[in-house]
Amino acid sequence: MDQAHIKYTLSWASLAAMGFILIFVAQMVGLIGHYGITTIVLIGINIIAALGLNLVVGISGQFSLGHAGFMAIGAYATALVMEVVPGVIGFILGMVSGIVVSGVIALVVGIPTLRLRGDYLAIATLGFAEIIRIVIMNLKITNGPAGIFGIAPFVSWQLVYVLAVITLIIVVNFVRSMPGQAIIAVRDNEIAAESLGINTTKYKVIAFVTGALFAAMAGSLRASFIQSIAPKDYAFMQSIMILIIIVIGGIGSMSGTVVTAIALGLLDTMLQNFGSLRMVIYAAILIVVMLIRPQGIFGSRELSLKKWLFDEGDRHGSDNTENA
Amino acid sequence: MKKIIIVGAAFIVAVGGIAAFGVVNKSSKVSTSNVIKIGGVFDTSGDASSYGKAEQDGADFAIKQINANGGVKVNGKNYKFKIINKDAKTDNTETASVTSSLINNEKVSAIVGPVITSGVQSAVPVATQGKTPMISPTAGADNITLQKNGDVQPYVFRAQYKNSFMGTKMAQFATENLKAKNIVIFQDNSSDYGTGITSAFKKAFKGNVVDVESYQAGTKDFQAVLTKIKDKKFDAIAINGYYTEGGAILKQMRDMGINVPVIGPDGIGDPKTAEIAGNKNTSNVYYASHFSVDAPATKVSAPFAKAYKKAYGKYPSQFTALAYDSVRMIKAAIENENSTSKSAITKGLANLKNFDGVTGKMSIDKDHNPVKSMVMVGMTDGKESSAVVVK
Amino acid sequence: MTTFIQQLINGLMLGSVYALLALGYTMVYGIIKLINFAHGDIYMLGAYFGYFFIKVLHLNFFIALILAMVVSAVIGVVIEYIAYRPLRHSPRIAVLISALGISFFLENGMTYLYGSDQRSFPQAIKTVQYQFCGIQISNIQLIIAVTSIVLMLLLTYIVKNTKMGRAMRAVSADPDAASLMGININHTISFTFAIGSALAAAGGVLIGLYYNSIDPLMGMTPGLKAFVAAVLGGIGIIPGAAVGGWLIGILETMVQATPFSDYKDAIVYAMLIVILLIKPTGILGKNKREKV
Repeated sequence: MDQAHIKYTLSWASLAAMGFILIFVAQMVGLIGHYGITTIVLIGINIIAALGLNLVVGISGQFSLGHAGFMAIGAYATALVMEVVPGVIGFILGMVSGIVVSGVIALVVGIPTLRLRGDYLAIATLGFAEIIRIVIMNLKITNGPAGIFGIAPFVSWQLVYVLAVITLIIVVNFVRSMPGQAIIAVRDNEIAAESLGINTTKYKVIAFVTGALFAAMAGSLRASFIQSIAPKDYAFMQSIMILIIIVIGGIGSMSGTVVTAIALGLLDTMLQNFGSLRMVIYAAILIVVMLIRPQGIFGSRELSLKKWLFDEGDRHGSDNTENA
Repeated sequence: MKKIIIVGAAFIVAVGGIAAFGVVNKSSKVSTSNVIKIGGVFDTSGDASSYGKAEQDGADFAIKQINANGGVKVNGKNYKFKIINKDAKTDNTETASVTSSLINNEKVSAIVGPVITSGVQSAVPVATQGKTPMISPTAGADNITLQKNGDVQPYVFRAQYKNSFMGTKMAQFATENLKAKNIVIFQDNSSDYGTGITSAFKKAFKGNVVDVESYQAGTKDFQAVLTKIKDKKFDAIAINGYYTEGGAILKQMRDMGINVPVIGPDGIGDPKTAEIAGNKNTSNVYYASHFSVDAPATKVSAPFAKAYKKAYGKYPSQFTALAYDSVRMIKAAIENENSTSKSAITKGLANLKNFDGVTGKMSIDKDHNPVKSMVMVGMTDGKESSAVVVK
Repeated sequence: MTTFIQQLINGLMLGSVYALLALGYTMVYGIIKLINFAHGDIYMLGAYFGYFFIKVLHLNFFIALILAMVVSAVIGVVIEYIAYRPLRHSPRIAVLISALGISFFLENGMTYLYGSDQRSFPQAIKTVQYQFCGIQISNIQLIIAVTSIVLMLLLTYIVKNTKMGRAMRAVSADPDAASLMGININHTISFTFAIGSALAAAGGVLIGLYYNSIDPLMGMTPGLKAFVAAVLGGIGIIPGAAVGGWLIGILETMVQATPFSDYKDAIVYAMLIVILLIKPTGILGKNKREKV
């Protein structure tokens, strides 16, 4: 690791720490109360889920509409395990088992379906998510459409913040790793990648499974934070809402995802007062943003501290690539 | 390096600013007002929006009426109600967020809502944490007012019958009044409303349940299921769901020539049932009712219906009536306890006895459910033609 | 046996509506490779226009049907002009989100303006039940079946034998070559949207009459199912949409007659996935290697 790299890593770390301290101080002096914290936690959970989806859609170029299904698995696994094993151990065990089950299902689903392309894959993943939801709704153990309530709360904003940062680190480093670069090669030109000896299906499955793991983690966190879950929370619309975050942020741009998740989270809290006009306004904003920035706010670029902080001569934000 | 210093400085300023703002903010909070804030958590967008809007109208109307009639009297002082409505989008996460906003930012004294069971479940932890009483006009699942260990949820109330009560009474009506021996059940299994009523019904019904058919909210086509059951032997049908699908089932089965009596829970009890099914198809139909324009439950029912019609140009549905009652129950709780504090409202709601609601005379039991009689209203040609109180 | 045939007929009825909707999906997809999520909402708008023309203007049912189709066609063209055309050269997913935005806008805009309550559709045609050999069918079901078949034949004629139809096929095969040959791509795409929207509106009005209830969210589920039908039949292929629509309609009906009726939708999706895995481009799709 060269010195420059340490410098960038440190500056990112200190940025994350600054955010943490800001929230901490604001909460301590009572500037943000329970509601502010709720908003922050929900944004954090969306960030985790969206980063996972961005890995699948943005980096590996596989159009998945089934993210909600994996969130449901994480949420239900956590709730069910916590009914048997109480306490914080149950929560950890629940989250881990949710992540594991979700990963296994993603593997089983992914291997055959990832041979499909584009919109055919989209509809297949949508179908799987719906199947998961319908099964959950008809099972006894998941308590049918009423869902499970009284899940013990072990989720604090600190936990979500730290997990979101860890997710971001994992995803960004994954993209730069060997498999990550291979996945990008597959996305950009599958046939060329194949002829270079890259096992395309393997790498697509890796991205798909990793995305599912983060979705399950997000579902698990939300279950314990809201303390109740119901199958209708994991319908098609949930997948769409996460998809919207990554498309507006810029497909493949992790920093775009984070910024958009925050912006849409704040927008949502503002729109709560608009009653039935709310979704009309939301829809109008969605259309206008897409018309103005079809490639998303960040395009496929990343926010780069390197350019901004250290390359004094350059105009910042001008031309950065993923390896910044 | 310059920019690093700028960022560092900005950060320190921000932290300092927040701290200073927080301190100033804390010291300046003293208020003596004669307004009691009520929060409304209604789903005015999303799947449950038709119920959410009807309930928001009911709550708004109650607030307007109470304020016009002098407001709430506490210790000889007149308080006015103010309602702050927020949209919960028929989404559990959103419901929790909205509830938190009302309790922690708007500092409401009580909450009316949420509309559906799963919404209440996600709002309960927030209300409990904020020690704020919450009364749901229409959530039906048995266990929403109870904790996991069976103790009552201290801050959660409802104006609606619980599902098992309704299912049991419907079964009783089917046996005693319709003399039904074999019954086919349709249930809406996209919420616990349909499934909850069905399971209680099955338990209480003396005859034989021939078949249970589930459907999802939003389903419009019932030809296949009706064709399937058509040749079975049954003498009544129960539709445990809402009027949207109930009306469609009724229309399609009567068109097909299935003319047995139909019974339904309060979700069927809406003028829309007859509108969707057609008047000629809406005969021999019985539903559980809290509120009926033609068969008023208490002396306040008819004036309410009339005043509402005058204000909104249509008769209130029972969703509207239940939300209207919820607000008035909060008012009664405040006046009984002679205090506007949240703990007093909670106590007042828990001790409410013989309250004259437009949906019946009710008392709150130890599990925070209303005890009121259930009326089965019969329809002939789309008009209410009979009303039987099920004891 | 009669029950089986009856169920088959029920399935075909349901499938006809999916097919009408799927045609619009498939045409739009064929020409600009867009999953038009707002399509189900055009169907809803069509139903509301039909409601308006019959209830308020007291028009004859068939005149109302045609007017609703015309108005919806105009709306379809306007939507394409505002929300999709500026994104013609953008990533496809941006257009998809724009389509979702339009869908939210129409659903919630209608909810805001007219409420989310169900409305009963005026019964412009009295229901009459016909019986033969134990099989029951109503005049309205016949109208739905006949209207959808007529519309599908008309569409096939347009696409196969008219100048505009040839232009549509040309643009769908290779837009650049088509424009070099002097075909106005924008007009062709507008025309496609007009036809697709008109078909959706027809579906909406027919369904309004049949089930007697309309609401602003009525397009969501059928929209999704129609999309599935289009993919199942082979997206971009017009007869494929009809095949997919009928297949899903029949499948749903048949599953309902079994003890697994609670899992109806799950079984439909499972079938879909199995079919896609066997034949990745849909039932009538041609297997074609993606261009390098």
